[in-house]
Amino acid sequence: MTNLDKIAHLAEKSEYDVSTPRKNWDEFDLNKLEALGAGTKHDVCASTATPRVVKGLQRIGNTSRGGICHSFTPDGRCVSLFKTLFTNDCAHDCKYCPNSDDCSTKGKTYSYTPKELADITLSLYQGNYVEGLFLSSGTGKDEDIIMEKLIETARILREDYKYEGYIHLKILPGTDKDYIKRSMEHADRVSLNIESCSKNRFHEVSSTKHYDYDILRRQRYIRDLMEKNGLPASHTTQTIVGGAGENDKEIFESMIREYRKMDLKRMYYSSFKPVEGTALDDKEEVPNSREHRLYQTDWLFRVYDLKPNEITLAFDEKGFLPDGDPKIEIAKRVFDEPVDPNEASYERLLRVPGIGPKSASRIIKSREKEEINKWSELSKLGVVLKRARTFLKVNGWTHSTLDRWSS
Amino acid sequence: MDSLYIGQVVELSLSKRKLELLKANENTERGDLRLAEKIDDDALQTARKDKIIRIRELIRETGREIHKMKGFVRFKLLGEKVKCGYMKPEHEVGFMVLDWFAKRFPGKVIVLGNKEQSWVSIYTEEGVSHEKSGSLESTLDELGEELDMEKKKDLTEVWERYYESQYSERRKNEELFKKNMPEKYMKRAGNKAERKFELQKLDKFKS
Ligand code: SF4
Repeated sequence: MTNLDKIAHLAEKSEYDVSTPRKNWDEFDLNKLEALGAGTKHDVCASTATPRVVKGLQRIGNTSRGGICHSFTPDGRCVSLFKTLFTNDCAHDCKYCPNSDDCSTKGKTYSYTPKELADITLSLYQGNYVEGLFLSSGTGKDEDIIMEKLIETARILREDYKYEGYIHLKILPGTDKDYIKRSMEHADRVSLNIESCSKNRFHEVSSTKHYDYDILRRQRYIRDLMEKNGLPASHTTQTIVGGAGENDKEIFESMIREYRKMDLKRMYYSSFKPVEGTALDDKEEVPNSREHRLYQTDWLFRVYDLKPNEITLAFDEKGFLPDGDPKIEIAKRVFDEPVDPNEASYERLLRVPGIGPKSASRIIKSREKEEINKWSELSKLGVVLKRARTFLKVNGWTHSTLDRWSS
Repeated sequence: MDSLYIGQVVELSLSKRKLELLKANENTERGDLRLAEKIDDDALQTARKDKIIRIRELIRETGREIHKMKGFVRFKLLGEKVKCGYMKPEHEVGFMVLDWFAKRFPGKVIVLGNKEQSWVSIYTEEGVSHEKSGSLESTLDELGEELDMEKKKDLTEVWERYYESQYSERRKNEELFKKNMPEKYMKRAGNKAERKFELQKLDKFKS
């Protein structure tokens, strides 16, 4: 018997065949797939990383601790999940949204059935096109009815198909607590978009949803349920940048509140883009650079552990982040002399532009063995010299005077 | 004993995984492997010497290829038991990729390969069993003698429509796309839909 025969024999013998959905894709409505897929393209979270460990053999799929990207669109964004709306029917009037009841160019209304959606997800997963499902939706006439269908989709996947891949479920605004609990039993991650940085700003973009009641209260439910029952990849949210005329500082403050009070894993930012036919279609588009700057401050808070009052040094008097890296703006204000990489603490090194958590710990470990005497050595440890040089002193030598950054 | 004493012989070694990655890289030379025996993971991370940095880069490159293949290869289903697809990696990463997929889909025969060679792997209660074989075609022929491998309709069309729906023209960023999805990895994973769409976009852009 050759090894290939043995492998074929093992496959014949294996009885972990779980029911596989059969679908005649010729009859499948691709316009629906396209319309409901496009309905989620502004939802940014593409993470598939989850610490959930999958064991046993009676299953289809597993998870990946670090996440996997299966494709990228020409806008450079990762396509890792089958990201779709369940339905584009919605009773709300969000002024930026093409699914809103008030949108004059709103196209045909489509909906999946839970079984249909579970079948496509599993088929795409089996073909290795995606790492799992990201399921969002319009609220239809009643958010609880639609939420029930989202949960049923996840249940079919988990229980009927023994699917163990990644699932991200959206919690619809205003959803009953019991539905939130049930969603969290199947999902790796759930999310509820705050869309705006405060109650007042929120009401400028939606008159049918209530910021405190429909959004923040539901986020607290998620937080409390998570504390009690766990949720592998935690919960996230997203906000629109500039949709209601808010400045960066307002968004930054809501970011801090969200991380501190809601025990959030990540907040995502999406620059406002007007959509034809919506109530805000004549509003100017917000450049992507604004969301980029906000991501940088988010990173400084979450990963670099900078204090909010340090980060606010980067904002101008109108509450906007100027062009350029906020870390450089902050460094110009906090350092009164160049930093010596042979002496500085980890925290101080982290505040130098061009040095991240990895290169800071490499510097510390490396200098224990041998002093750092050359710029090129720093570069080999992962420091981006182009950005770091101005703030460092190597062998008593600096690349600039301090006056240069205080002027 | 917890602490080291002077004169104690300390065995330095890279983790098993890192050594595997280094050995799998096509460009690794004997000198790299000899040096790798004398360093540990810590020394690798904090290296300032070019020879050690080279080892770090070789390991990183192999790891990157494995990661990209895990994401970019696509499977066709043949009957209930076999999943097959195209893959032509530059480095010797066949089994590392295949075994990972086998664990994802227990009881299924995973076959990936090209005109010259193919890799086959399965995960059952006996653990992972794998085999390197000739061309993808000949391997599938051989498996076909044992297993029912009726070809199912693949999802290329469904995937293409979905993929296009996710693109936002206003956010076009060719540079980022090329960085994240380099042509060389698309080719090695036989990735067609994305390459086709990318070319169409480029044509539009130029016209
Ligand atoms: S609730 Fe969601 S789908 Fe409905 S209009 Fe608002 S943003 Fe659009």
